[in-house]
Amino acid sequence: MSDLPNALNVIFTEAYYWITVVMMFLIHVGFCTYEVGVARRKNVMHTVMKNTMLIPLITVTFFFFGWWVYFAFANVPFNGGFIDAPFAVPWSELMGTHMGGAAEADANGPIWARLNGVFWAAFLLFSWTTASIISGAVIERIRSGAFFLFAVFVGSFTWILDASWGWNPAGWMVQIMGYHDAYASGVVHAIAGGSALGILLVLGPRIGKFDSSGKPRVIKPHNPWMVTIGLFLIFTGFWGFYAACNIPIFDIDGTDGVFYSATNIYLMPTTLSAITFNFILSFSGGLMATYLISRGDPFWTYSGGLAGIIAASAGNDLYHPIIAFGVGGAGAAIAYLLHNFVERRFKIDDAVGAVAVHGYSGFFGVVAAGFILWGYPAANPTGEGAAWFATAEGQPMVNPLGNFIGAIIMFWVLGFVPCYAIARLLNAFNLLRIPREVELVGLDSKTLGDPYPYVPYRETAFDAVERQNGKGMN
Amino acid sequence: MSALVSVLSTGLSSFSNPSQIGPMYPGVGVEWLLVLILFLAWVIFHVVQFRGETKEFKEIAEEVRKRGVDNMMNAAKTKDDPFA
Repeated sequence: MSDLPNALNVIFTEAYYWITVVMMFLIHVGFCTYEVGVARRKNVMHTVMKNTMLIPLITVTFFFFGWWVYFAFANVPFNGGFIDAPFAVPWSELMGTHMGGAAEADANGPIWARLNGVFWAAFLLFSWTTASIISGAVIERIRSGAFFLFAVFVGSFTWILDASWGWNPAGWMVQIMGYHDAYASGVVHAIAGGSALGILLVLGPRIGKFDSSGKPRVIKPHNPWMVTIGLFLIFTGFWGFYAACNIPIFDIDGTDGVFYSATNIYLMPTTLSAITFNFILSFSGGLMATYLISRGDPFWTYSGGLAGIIAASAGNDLYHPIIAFGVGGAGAAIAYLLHNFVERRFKIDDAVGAVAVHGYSGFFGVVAAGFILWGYPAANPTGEGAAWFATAEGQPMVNPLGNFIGAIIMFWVLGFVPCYAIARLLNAFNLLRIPREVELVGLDSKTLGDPYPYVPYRETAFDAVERQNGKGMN
Repeated sequence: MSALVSVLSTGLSSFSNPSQIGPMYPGVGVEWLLVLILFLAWVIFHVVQFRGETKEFKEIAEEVRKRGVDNMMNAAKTKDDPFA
């Protein structure tokens, strides 16, 4: 790069995304900590390894095809065919150390040479998050081998497919439906929640979770304090997630002039300041709502803070902070109430409340944004396909119908259905769930060992339930 | 050795003209081979994982059936190696 302003822009952008990636790593640290805290002592080490190993597996497969899917599938199937994305295939020269010199012939060559790795990594961290959300829900009884397949499937295919459709400014959901989901209420969270629900339905509850009358029993976390620390870490990493969903400097002037601003992922204007307001207010709304509704339960208060951010995320590029507070509070309350209803009614054992915190509040958040942001431009038109609703300037318009159908696509079509089908398939081959004997004795019992070898074990009330369930097995 | 160097090398021995430098990693032109190696490593990982855990679960289940659930749960909570 020979001109300084361009070099500063490109290298600043490179550094910007690099920092978001490091911050987002804390999301994964938080998920691991949270999930391990919820697990019982006999399953702790297995739980942390299950979550940890999704990192390399999704990384490898996201390198193979995940990044390419984001660009290639934007018009598939309703708005044309595959889009050529030579910079995103794993054998591309631009998927490695590159100075940009030989790519000068392509107008975007120098940019992709510099930024491909940090863009790829930012999306990769979103991928880890989607799989990590599922990981917590299914702890203590899923086979790691099965979970790894789900992690690859959701982390490197279905979520990035939905991002291609509903997050890429050229995606058909954006261009035709006016779908708006700036910080991924649906694109990351609803799909992960729906996927987790599909798996849980086949996987079944942990032994003893429900009594003979169907009433759920409490399975205490082995370390509630660790659970809260985990959620604090997730909140911290979430700042990076928000920044990573923005473009830091972009010319947004639609006329002949020049006007530089930050944009959301659709290249529509917002500011870091705006999303900071809204992030904190939606977090606060979620915390306050669930603190009251759960009567100060730490697990649900912290989870509610997360659910609050997730619910408001779809529109946090444009909301007023107090709207973000309200949407966050409502989304968190819905997550709490629906979790308890679904647990009792359908006997779903979601160990960490992931389906509720990510799935239900994410779904709600997408739908709410469709109403609250009704009429805003969703993206600049690409000329492919006609929008259902358009602004006076011809841009696809954010609207309730597009976002409602979009939420269904995220949670049910790309989340629940494929994971339910794969879970059924794995279950048919006895590859989904660990044997009952292993579940009772503990996943760590044979190879990984007790994580607290110097601390005596105290029998809990739930241990007696498990012993009762184990009678007659030998 | 020289054949290996010729495959891996970019032919780049100077950074004095950076505007003309493109890919800088060893192996330019044989990226497909690197992708293939990584692909095989990925597939092998899944196969080894499924086989390994199946064997481990089978051994635990057999031991539990032999010694009883209660005894094994007690052993898991009190002994460094409950299977010893």
